[in-house]
Amino acid sequence: MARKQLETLTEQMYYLLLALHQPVHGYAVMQFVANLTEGRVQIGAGTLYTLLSRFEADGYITRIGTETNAIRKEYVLTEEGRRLFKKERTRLQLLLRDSEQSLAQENAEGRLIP
Amino acid sequence: MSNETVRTKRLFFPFLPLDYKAAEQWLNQRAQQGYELCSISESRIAKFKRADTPRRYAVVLWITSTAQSLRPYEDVEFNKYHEFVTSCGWTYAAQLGNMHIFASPPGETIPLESDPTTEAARANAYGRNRLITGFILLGACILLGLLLMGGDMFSFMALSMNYMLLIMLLVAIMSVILLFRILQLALYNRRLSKAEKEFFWPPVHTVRSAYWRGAIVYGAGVLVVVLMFVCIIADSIISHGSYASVQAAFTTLIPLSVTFTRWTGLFRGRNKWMQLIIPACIMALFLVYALTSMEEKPIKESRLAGQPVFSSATSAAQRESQYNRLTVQRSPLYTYVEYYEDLDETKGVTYSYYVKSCTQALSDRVYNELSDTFRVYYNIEPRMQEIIFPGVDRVQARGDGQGTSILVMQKGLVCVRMDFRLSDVSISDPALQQILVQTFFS
Repeated sequence: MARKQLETLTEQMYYLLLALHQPVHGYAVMQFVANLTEGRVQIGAGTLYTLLSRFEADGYITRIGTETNAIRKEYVLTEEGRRLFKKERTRLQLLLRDSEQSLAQENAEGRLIP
Repeated sequence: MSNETVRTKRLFFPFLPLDYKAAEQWLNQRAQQGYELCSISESRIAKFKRADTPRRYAVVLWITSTAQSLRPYEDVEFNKYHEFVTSCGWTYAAQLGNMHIFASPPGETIPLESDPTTEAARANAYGRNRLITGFILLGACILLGLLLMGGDMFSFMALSMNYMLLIMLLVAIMSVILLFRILQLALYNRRLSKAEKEFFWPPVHTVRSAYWRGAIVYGAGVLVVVLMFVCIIADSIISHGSYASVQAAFTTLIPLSVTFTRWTGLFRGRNKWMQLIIPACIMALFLVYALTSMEEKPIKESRLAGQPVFSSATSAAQRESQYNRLTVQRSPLYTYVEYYEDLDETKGVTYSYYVKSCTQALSDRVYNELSDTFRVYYNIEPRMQEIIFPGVDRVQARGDGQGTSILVMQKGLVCVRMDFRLSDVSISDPALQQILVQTFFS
């Protein structure tokens, strides 16, 4: 049975795909995300495993190398993964743009309570 | 002794898998008090020891497929998950059914599961799995109940004299428990989907309510098991003859050994499948014993052996009345003789004899002897023979003025049945009574 396609990504999924633009192993992903977000977003080990497994099964990421240590296995985005990330990024940009425009307009008309 | 000096302590851990988040909170509360989880036994006693740096606990709900549940360490997916998270510094602290408890490295702040979406998917899968299993089990229980109730010549008296009553009671209790469980799971699944829609995750009951709910369910489970054992042992004590006692002892030993090995945590670890060895050995012993010792033993051990059943004062007095009834109850389960006779033959005649289980050889003997009897005494051939089960618990002879039936039954199901078309076979014939008594009680 085909897996349900992802409609939107959670924050953790988004940062994981962002990290996997370069070949990187699981432990480095956790460090990368924590550093990038200054600790605001932290991916737990269980969640990381689940997401990596799911993305790999869905064909969004692929494993490279022959490393057998679970945490040292390297992954990278596939073309489909890149498309998914790009689609989500565009969606987030549109959300941000729309909200910025709306708020700026309301601010100019003096309707917005600061 | 103050709490500060207590190095280890044991606490009851009654949480249900559905309340795994509450269990997680409870463990983390203990961790904040400076206690580290050492183990949890199948009897749900959690052992803690003092620790300077608190750990963080995570309870993971993991469904192992039925095929793999007997060998949980061969669950490839779980092994991968286990390997990954332990590589990240988490340690596997304990397991209780589908709840796998991991402990973080000391001082760790990141939770094991940080994305509610993936956790919700796993919890949903668990809820669905249990709900489907619950429906399947309930269906099986109802089917079994219907089959039992639909047995030929079933009567309440037969039920009360038989293991069937016990089995049906257990089926009924199981059905009620399953219904309760299904309702609980349905509510749980509803709560999950509501929590997801409202971005409120995890949907945790308070630790206290989850604790007491678990304790009540656990207590009810223990009570049912204890009652079952008491019923079986009481039956053995009330019954006469060593055969019944040995049979009951074996019957009791199987679930007891399963419970014992699980509760004591014997063979825990990678040889967990060894838990099945002891019950399997006992089951095999029981089968060997049953197959080698059942031959005609029940009849010989019957207390009615050699006793003329119909010569008791009660029956003699009753037989003189127009509406006769004789009931001999030597044991609630094993010996029961019912003699009912309506002399004007408008309501028919019933004889019932309960004997202990016997083998195919004995049921064949019953058929042959009765056939011979009818050939010799009445010069008629039985027109039908039907053998369904190789054991015999009850013999019933019925005459209604139109014909006669001899039924040899096991647990309410006909084992041997012979129908005689001619009405000249009188069921109240003392000669037939004598033959029946000689066949089954001597």
